[in-house]
Amino acid sequence: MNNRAVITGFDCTTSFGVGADVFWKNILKNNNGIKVIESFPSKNFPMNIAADLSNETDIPDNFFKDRGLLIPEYKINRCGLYNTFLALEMAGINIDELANKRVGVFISDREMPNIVHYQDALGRILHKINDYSYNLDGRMELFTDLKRYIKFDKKLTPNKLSQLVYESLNIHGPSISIGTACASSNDAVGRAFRAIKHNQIDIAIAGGAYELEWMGMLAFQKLGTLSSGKDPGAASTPFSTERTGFVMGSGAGIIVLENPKTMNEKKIFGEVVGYGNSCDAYRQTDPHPEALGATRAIQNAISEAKLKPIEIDLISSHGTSTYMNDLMETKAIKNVFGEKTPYVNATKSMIGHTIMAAGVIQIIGNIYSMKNNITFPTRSLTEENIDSDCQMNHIINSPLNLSINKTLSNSFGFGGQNSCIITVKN
Amino acid sequence: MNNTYICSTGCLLGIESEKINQYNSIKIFEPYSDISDLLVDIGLNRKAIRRVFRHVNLALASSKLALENISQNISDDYVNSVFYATSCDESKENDGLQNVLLNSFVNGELSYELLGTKGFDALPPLDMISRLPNTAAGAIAIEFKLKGMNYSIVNNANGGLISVGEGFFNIQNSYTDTAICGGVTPPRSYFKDFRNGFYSKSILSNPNFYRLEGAVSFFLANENFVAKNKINTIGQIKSFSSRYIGEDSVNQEKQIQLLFSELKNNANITPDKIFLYSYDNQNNELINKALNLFSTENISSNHILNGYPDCSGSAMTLSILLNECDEKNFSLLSLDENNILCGIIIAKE
Repeated sequence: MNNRAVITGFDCTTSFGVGADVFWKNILKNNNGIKVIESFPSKNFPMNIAADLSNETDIPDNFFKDRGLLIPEYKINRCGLYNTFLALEMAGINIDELANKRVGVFISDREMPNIVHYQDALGRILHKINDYSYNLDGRMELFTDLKRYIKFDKKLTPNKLSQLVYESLNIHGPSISIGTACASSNDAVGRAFRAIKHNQIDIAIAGGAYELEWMGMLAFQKLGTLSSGKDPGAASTPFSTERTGFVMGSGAGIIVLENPKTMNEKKIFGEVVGYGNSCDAYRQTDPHPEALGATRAIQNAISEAKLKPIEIDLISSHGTSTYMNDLMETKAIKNVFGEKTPYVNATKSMIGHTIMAAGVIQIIGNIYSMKNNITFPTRSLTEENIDSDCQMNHIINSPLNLSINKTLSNSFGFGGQNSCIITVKN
Repeated sequence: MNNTYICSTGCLLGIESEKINQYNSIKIFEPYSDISDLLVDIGLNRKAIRRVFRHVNLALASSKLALENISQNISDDYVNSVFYATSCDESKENDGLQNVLLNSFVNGELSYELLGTKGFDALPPLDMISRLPNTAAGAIAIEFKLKGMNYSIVNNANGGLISVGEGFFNIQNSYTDTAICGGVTPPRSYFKDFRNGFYSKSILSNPNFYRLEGAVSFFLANENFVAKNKINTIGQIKSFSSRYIGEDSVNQEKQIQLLFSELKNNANITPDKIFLYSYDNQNNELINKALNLFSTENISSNHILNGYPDCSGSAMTLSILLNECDEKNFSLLSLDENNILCGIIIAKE
């Protein structure tokens, strides 16, 4: 007998600020979270707009000090850890009891810890040595120089936020960090859902985090995936004829899933009922032209949820605003739902592409949509600029009131990754 | 619940230490050297090798080895998945960060103006792909046309073993019929070596310290695939579990015991021998603690690849044990940098 996995808490940080309510209120108003980058001087960069966290967005030191915690080094980890505490508080979970419960952590965060932190030291040293030989003398020289500039952090690991969460909360269950590029946090939630479903754990903390930094931005730009738009208000336009690429964003999102059989009576915000994961097995950077992988992922999620496609009310699309993704995603949705698709919206039109946090933030948007029976439009998309090849039941211009009971969140990533999550109203 | 069988393994290790040569089941090469002839011998296309990142080539080659006698049986009639541990490739050829920085300094100071212009120009076009953790998993899927589940594990030194655990979980619960699992340790830059703590005087002067890279792949399948295709399996995964054991010594003992109880209960067998793998090559107190917790007669502090860091060390140790240890049943416990301990119980065929 499989267990259910209900959503009892959630929180997120986006370019609108810290807090899921802040995110929801802003996207419902169709506000734009994309602006000129403040966190580093980007004037001469090929692209200098993003949905970055503002300089004011941060967590007060006292939040960590009061809990006897060290202050996390990176802003996104401070926000992600704060989001975790808030999500657990929302779930009414006593964090002092977590050590003795069956809890798992499924958080995807950046592969490369913030290299920008070391940029000055690295640059100086690389200039001085500029020699990649791996002999002992070279190592010793480099070590001496690095030690002068950099505080050595043994625990600067790629899955840092996961580590902060299980260490801070004394969680002893499994901790799995999934990396599927832009699909990561959908996969993290999906894996967490199945860990509860198959009785590995009773409580899951799942989500993802990503913080914009110049190296990632330059690398995505070099790959030709970023928007060429100069107007922050219109640079991210998923499914429109004006789309030229995605706008990067920073964000973190955490949801708490619980097995209802092992929890106290409490408010339930929704339930994860289906997860689909597939691979195109086609190309590293291009999606399958007929969207066969994405189609399978959506179908698998619907099948696991024991639903029919017609029962899905709302799709929070991957909607990156790149030419290929939006075309491919439209094909996948139509392959599954036919020409009459469920309503479709795209968070990335307002908060940019938060990479490893994108999927879970979409799921949080879906939770609010189900809770309030109203959902947000895709910003900058109008009747006039919808790409004829991307015609679906788009929500445009203003929020839409409707009964929303079953939702789908799509996330796709480089490597041919496809990940879909179905959440339903409880 | 489906049974999960290990059908084959493929293992490539670039390492300087001579002690590794005693193991027959792994192909050894000179780390950071030109390995194109070796890769071609294994079955990779010489032209394709030049187009692909080094760590991806290693992952593909180890998967080729694992699938040597099986690839003809893989078809879309089955759900074929990939769970693979990787971190980004920072080898000399691929390290865009270094190229960017070298072009972006004026008088010893970073210039953002140059960063956005000359630095940007110096960036290799596919730098981002080398930085993503799932590039190897995607490449394996493309090479062998595996359209089922696909994700990469980013769990430090336990990554490879956790990937095998994910294959087990997903076959056990019917989400896939077969899985390629394992991990690849990419070549590293100075920066990453430093980050991983390899530039301490004690490590540099330690004769056991060696540069390394490598990949290991396992082909796992359910009973139906094994029976239909008459595969001779080399082992069955009976259970897998992982726990954060914390830093407090009293609690660590409790957590280690809990992990092992869970492993044993789920496996329904007691392993004949327990092996331990640790991320660092120093004598680890925890290993001794674990040894003392279980019946010491049947426990081996196995240092086959201790200190072999990053994504493939734990899984490579499992591969060596599968192919070269005599015990009928065994368990491998693996400890990573963040005190996550994971364990697997294997029944050999």
